[in-house]
Amino acid sequence: MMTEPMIAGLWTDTVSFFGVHAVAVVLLKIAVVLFALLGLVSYTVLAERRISAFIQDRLGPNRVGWFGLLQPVADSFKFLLKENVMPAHVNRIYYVLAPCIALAPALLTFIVIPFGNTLAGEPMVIANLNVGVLWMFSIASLGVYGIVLGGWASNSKYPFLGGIRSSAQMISYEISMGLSLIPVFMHVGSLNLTEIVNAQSHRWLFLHPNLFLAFLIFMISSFAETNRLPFDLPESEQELVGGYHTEYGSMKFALFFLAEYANMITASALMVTLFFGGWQVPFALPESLSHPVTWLAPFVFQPVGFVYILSFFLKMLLFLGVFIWIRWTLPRFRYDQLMNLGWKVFLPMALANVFVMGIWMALSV
Amino acid sequence: MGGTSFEYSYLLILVLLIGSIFFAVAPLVIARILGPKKESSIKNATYECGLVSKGDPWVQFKVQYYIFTLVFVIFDLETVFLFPWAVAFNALGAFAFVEMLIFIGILAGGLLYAWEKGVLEWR
Amino acid sequence: MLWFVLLFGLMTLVTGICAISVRNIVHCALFAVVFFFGIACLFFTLRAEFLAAVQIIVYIGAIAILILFAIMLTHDVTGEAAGGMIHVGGITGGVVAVAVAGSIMVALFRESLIRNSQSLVERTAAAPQVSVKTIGEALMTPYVVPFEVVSILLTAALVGAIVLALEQRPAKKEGS
Repeated sequence: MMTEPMIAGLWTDTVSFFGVHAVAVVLLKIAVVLFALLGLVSYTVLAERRISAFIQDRLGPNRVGWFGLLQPVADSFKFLLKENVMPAHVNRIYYVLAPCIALAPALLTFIVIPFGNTLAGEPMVIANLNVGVLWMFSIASLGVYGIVLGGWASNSKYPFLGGIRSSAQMISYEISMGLSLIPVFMHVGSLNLTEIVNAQSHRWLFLHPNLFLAFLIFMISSFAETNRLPFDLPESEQELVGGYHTEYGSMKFALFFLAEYANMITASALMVTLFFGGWQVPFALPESLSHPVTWLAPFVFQPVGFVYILSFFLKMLLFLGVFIWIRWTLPRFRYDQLMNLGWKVFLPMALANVFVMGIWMALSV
Repeated sequence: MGGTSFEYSYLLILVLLIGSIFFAVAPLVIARILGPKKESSIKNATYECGLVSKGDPWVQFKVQYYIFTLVFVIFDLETVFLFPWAVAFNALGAFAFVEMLIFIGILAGGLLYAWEKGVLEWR
Repeated sequence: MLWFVLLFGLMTLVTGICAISVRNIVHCALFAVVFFFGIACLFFTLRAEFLAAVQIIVYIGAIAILILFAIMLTHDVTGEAAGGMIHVGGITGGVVAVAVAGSIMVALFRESLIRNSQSLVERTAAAPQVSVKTIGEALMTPYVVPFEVVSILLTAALVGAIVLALEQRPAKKEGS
């Protein structure tokens, strides 16, 4: 019944698409993004340690390599060579599965983020989905499973409570996170992240008062979503030892750790993309690049694409810096305060923001 | 052409899915091969700050976590309905805005009920 | 594409059967998660990307989490104590399930499965891609009444859940 032409059609499509140099380019893009992401994750860990040391007037890891720059390499070897402890009381399958489930979605979400304009005619996004933002939300919501399963499979009190706490916290803030973005989509009229970036070529979205509020709600919610201080109750040492990963060690612990930082990077990238113009360079509008009169003129030779990638990267680093800075500055919330903030402050605020945005847009037409 | 780009986007996602699973599983496998293995019954015991673990690890937690999850499901659905509305908002005009006001109004009523009943109060 | 449809269909079928037949209810819930994911994949192959993303967000990100929480609130998960399947609840549940499945089948066969002697998969490949905007416009103009009814349904569910939960709030409180 099914149709030779259909399969043949897909086949010819595949050949026409992959037949050209494209297969190499696409695989290269995927490989570069994955490796860059993992590299960035390990260096964010280093940055966190160095910056926290700076904030607390210590030195931090500065022995391995120049200024401690080889510390991530040493750390990864350390994790690989540590004993692979598998406690006797755990549920073995889920115990091993949980860190994988935590890390894989964290890597997958990055796929829809446009990290540059084009480079040699190739768009600098891996998959330009029409439902890009929804994709991010759907994949990010899978991350909860790693934590719940990790807590449950450990078969131990602290991880169990940590996992429950963490998932309740994450789902609470997922709502305000999703609702806070509604005004953005009303403004842009698309869920496609590339289109959202293009809509900001003249004015970045955070300059709009409603969208600035949306940005604040989104940023604070993403702190809660990534279990970072001041919302790190799932792993609050004084109450729950290590939270959901109390029973984890060696590489399995490292995967949870990497997932947290990968989520942080994705959240930063999403904030840059949605509110801060993505790869756009301030004061240099894309059309002006064709006739180089801006301050960018010296760079406007062929690889202007690199400038955009650099711009995206620097903005993202800025937000990562904010994440780290806040972690080492603010104290932790109490759990009832956290829930109140999510449900009684951010949820009504985000809903009201949708209203105000609607009225604003109706009036300004 | 639009059709093909659609299929390719998801083909790429499939490739990246495999890639990310590889990146999650490979370190575990390598660590298992390289790491030493020195079992001991004390090392494998439940961690409870050095005390011997007592009772069922599956402790009863507050039912409130569950209620929050219930409320979450409702509002998650609402958010999902808001997404297409927001995207089409510019093309739809005032009537759609009123419709959405009614939609959110009814759900906000539910939220107020929950609020009033003290469900959102963490105890 | 056909191979993907078959693959995901098989995955959905197998995990669905596992989800209702495995004894340990934690396994059941996780099979259900894979099952929901399989349905999302089927939506992707039908080019309904919005629906697929929503399927993941709502079913995996919310409803399955709710199920997991419910399981973790209860103590006995191994299913040893679970009795036979034949009782009143089981029978009525079975009748409702058959009725729902039957009406879906009828709707599918009448409306879309065979039309113009083309299979569903063929016609999806030929169909224009439905954008999120189109869905939004459809929700706001022809389907506005069902849309508003959904909000009432959701609110009723919320109120009902709260009433039930408050009724059964246990007096003892351990854990936090």
